[in-house]
Formats: sequence, structure tokens, C-alpha cells
Amino acid sequence: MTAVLPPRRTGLAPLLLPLLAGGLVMVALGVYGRAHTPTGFAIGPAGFSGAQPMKAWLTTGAFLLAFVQVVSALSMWGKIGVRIPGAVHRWSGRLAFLLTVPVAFHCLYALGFQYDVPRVLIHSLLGCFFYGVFTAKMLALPRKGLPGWTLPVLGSLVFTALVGLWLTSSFWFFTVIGVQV
Amino acid sequence: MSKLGPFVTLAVGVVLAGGLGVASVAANPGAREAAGTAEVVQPPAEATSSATPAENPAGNTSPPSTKPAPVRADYAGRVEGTRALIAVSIRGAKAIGYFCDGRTEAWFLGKVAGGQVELEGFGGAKLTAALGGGRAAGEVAVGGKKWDFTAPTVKKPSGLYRATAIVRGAKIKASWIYLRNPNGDGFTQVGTAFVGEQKVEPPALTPGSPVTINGGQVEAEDVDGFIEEMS
Repeated sequence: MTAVLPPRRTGLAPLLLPLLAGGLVMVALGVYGRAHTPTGFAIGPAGFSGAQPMKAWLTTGAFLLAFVQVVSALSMWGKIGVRIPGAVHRWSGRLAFLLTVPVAFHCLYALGFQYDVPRVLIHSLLGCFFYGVFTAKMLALPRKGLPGWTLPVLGSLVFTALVGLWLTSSFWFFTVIGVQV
Repeated sequence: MSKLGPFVTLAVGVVLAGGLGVASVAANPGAREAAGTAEVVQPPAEATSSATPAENPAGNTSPPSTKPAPVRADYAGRVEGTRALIAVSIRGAKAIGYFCDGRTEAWFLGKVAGGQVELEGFGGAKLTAALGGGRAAGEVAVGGKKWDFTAPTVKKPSGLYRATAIVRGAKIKASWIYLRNPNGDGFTQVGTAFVGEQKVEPPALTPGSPVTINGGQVEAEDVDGFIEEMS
């Protein structure tokens, strides 16, 4: 708290590190997904009939929380005239992120990065992109002197990626395979 | 807001993923040999009596949390005593099967229950198999004859493919089983193709590339691409 306030100057420089780290995460996940021989098996949360329903439902949980994220973010920026405590945004985001981890783990460890059908290709790319942007956003959050649009843009990208991920996985699963637990 | 919050969030995610990794490696060290995109299939409970402990050096302890279920698996192999290949694919509770020797073909549809599939085809054709241990083993009956088969799990590009389209006003339908040779050298494929009701020579399939039938380009889809329209 004794730190001297930096000059009120915004620039792209403070964004460099978060974006670089996010980019590295994206590439690393993709390379891992490709290089690692898929095991076809991974440990995950119990209580589901199989890995796919588990993933479909956890992703749906994160997907719903993502809407909480957007609404609470809009509130934070004073766009909807309702004050939602900041903790709602933080905790719904954390929960959503944690819900995606077992899903992504299964994807990458058991299945790997695949591109034999468009849905799977899009899903694989979005999955890597999602964690990259999420990392960038987390690293950008505590930094000062960022352009004002940084968090809204990164947040929107995270949200968009998650919606895309949900559409190419859970939505596909529920409509093609069927709604099952 | 705590400046550390976002880092903690990321760290917790990393730790969670790491924990899942450790648990997965510990629970199933043999899984690396299990084939690619196939889920490990839980052997049916009654099969445990025939499985010797030696087959599972890790001990037959069930994994601590998620039990593997036959959610997604692709099996393909030869049918003993014939020139035919057979493929069985599981997507959720649905199962699809295909038998083809280039002349005779049969499609099968049905459900997975308790590590077993009992699939029905046209004209009394039937396919029954037990799933587990990285293979589907069972019996297929086509055209009044019956054969045993054992089909191991396969991964892309091996598997079942189907192409349907309308080309020059004719309904095109082609099906293939594409299977990596056991010695790992090249692929074997068998298929059929129809232009309307007319059987034609099936073009050689290269998964991921379109094939030419009746002068038109047709995309061959894998199981994910056609299971919905068939079941």
C-alpha cells in the first residue's frame, strides 16, 4: 500500500505480458493435445454414467455461469443500473473456470487435439483459445495502466469461446446422443 | 480486490488439472495402450470371473471416481473365416454396426446395455457382442450364416465411413470399413457403393478426402457424422 501510484497513462505495454502468457498457454495446450498419445481414459468427477455426460453437464454449468458473468460484469460497469456485488462476478467466474477443468483435462488427456470433423476441429481450437484468453484476462486483472477496453474485450472473448465450446460439445451431445446424466 | 485473487484462481485450476493427471496415471497405467479416441469400456460384471488378475498388473481396483462407461468407442476387425470386415461404434447409448465383404453388406443398429450390444439389421441380420478389454467380441449373423468375430478398439483413421448424396439426380450411398493392418503397415478397406439401386465399384477411400462416385464428389463421413441420421 506504500507503492507510488503509477502515472495515469494507459498504453498497450502492460498488456504485453498477459497476452504473451495467454498465447503460450494456447499453443502449449494445442501442442500437448497433439503430441500426447490419448489414453482414452481419465479420472473425473463421479456421479455420471460416463465421461461424456460428465463433460456435457459440467460444461453446461460453466455455460450458465457465463451468463451470470456477463450480467454481473455489465452491472460492474454500470450498464444495467442494478448493483450486483463484485463477489458474484468473481465467484461465479471461479466456479465456472473450475467446472471446466475436469472437462478440459479429459479432452486433452483422454482424447487429444483432433480435427477430423469440423465440430471437433472448432472445439479443439476454441478449447485452447479459451484457456489462453482466460489466462490473459487473469493476468491482466491486477495490472494497472491497461487500456479501458482490456477487460471487457478479454471477458467477451472468454464468454464467446465458452459459448462456442458449449455449442460444439454439450449442445451437440444433448441433441445427437441424447440428454442423459 | 486482492491482487492475488486471479493468480490463485489460475493456480487452483492448474493444481486441479495436475491432481486429475496424477489420479489418472495412478488409476490406469495401462491405459496408454488403449486405443486413441476410444473410451475404456467397463467390462461387464460377469466377465470378471474369466479375467485373470495377471491381465491387469495394476490390480483390479476400480478407479476412485468416474467409472469408465462405453460412451464412445470404435471397434473394427476381421470376421473369422471370411473376407469381411466388421465395425461396431458406440456413441452414448447408441450402437451402430457394419459388416461388409465387398459383396454382402449389413448395417446394424441398437443400444448398449451393461457392456453388451445386441444390434438388429435388415432381414434377420443380427450382431451381438460383449464390449470390454479393449475389444468387441461376439457373433454376427448375415444371410442365414453366422460367424464369430473379435474387433479391437481402433482409432482414426481406422473405422466406419459412410457417404450419402444426390449426384446428377441419383441417390448415392457408399459405406466403408477402413482398418489399419495389424502389422501397422498400410490400411485395408472394404466397401460398397450404390448409385440408386445399382451397385457400383466402390471408390478407394482416403479418410478426410472426398470420393468420386457417378462423376460427382461425395464426402465420406465418420460415425459422428452419420450416426444421427441412421438411428
